[in-house]
Amino acid sequence: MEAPVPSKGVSRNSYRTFAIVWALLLLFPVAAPNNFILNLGIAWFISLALAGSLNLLMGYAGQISLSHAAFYGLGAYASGVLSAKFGVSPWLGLCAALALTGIAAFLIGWPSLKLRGHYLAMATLGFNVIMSVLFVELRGLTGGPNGLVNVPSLSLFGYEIGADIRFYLFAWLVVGLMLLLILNLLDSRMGRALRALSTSELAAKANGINVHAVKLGVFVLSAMMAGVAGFLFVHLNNFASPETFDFAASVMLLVVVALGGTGTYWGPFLGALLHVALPEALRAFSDFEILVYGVSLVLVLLFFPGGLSGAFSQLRRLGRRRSAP
Amino acid sequence: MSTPAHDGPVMTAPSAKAPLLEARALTRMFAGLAAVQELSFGVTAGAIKAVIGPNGAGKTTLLNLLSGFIEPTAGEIRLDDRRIEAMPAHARVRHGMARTFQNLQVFGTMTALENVMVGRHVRGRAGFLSGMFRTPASRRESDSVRAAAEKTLALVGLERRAATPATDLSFGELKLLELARALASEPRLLLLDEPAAGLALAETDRMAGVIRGINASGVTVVLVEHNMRLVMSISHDILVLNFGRRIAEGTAAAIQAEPAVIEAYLGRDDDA
Repeated sequence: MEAPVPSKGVSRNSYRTFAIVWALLLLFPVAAPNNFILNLGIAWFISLALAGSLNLLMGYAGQISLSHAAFYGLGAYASGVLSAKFGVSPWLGLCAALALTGIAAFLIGWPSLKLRGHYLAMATLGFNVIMSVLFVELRGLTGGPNGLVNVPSLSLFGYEIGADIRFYLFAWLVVGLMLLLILNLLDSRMGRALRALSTSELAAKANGINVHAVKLGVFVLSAMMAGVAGFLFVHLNNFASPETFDFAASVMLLVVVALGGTGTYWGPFLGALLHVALPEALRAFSDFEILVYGVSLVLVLLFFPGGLSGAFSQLRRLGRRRSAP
Repeated sequence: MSTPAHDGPVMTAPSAKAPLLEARALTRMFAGLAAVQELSFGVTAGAIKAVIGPNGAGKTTLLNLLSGFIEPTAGEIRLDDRRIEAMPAHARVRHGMARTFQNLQVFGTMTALENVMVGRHVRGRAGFLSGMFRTPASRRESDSVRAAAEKTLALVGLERRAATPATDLSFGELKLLELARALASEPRLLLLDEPAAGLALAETDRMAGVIRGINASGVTVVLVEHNMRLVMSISHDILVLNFGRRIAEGTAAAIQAEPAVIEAYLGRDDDA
């Protein structure tokens, strides 16, 4: 996992930190006192896949999507419906999830990313609403508002990957790979291009970057990663229902990314932690959950515009200044 | 080609070969007003050509037309005798054209070196997948892009600032960084929008030296500039615009003696 290229600055350190964090996560199942806690770990992986892929689009490329949850749902229903209703292998379902989310993102992104301004945000808002309606109304396929049931668990080489340590390890592998791919991308030609265009589209064009193509590429990529998260979700829970993937869920993901720190590699790690831990901590005030999110978002953005990960580096810098003579 | 309204002392380029860049009857209207009007001129390969003129003369509009950031209302732009006026800005870079901006457009979240690496975008081929999977080819490419970017930074004297975030650079350094980023694509033609604007005297002279060095390495330069010290010291020939039209074109000495230029800059002296 070490960077083969002696790249400067954040990059080499990021690989090392990532390798350490990911190795330590292997110890979590040993430390987890029960299955409930273990399942929170799995939920964190899925949340991290969603926040990480949205952060790639929103934080690094500067494009706002309001339908990340719809792609999450499209991935979940694609693989879920195929395996539950048609007996197709979930592994083929994964291919279908990748293809469908990729194609859908391409069709939405192509026209809306041609225009400057917030057209992607508007187009994705519409897309999420449409998808929510389809998830409910295509009862024959999706089970409608009652949800899609009897989705089979995954199995690999004859071993069922149930909602226990085996799924934890599987999610560890899949999400770890996804985050490694994102890290690689950020330090590559296209990664630099997408970071560049979020700062100045003008300068990106002047440097020969096909802004439309790069935006479209990163939007499709981020949607497909959300599709993989949906695949994990549906085969973990053997169930999917529309409200998991509605517009509010998309907004929640934006909040999670912003809370963690947009455009920072570690932001989604922290954001996902809040995403999983807060509802558990606030179980008593379940109706006020969204209020707590809203208030905490305002507070974080007021005092730490860089999100939680930005707050950490702010504090570190402060500490260094204090310790300096 | 149409005849310009005022015929300045047009100096023919030293060599007779076709110009690297040519504008033919280039016109750009903004809401009925012509920012650039029936403008024709050529830029000889290897030259440093300055475009000057009073505020609002259409200099920046011209640069935006040449680099593809706005489309002409009429007329042609030719690069190597090939029409490019309909080509998108990013594609022109691939054909050997690079530009800088008057109001700096550096990538603030990236280091100086990364900025220059972005400038080398068109020299690379790695796409999303090869970048994500770090294929051997993309790794080799990344290495060579980094090495070339380091050299380009050294060319403008910023090699010691490579790892510095662009936001931490001084204004003068940012100007040089933008120049290095434009150079990284190995352009044949470099369009500079006021490279000396906001620079102190010593920095202006440093910038002049850098531009001269770039030109000596074979890059043709077109610069829009207000700073006459820079213009007069480095340009081979000068195009003077007023109200979007050419009023003079020629060497520094020739245009300084041209009454139309003096009038445009100082106004008509009716008592003379």
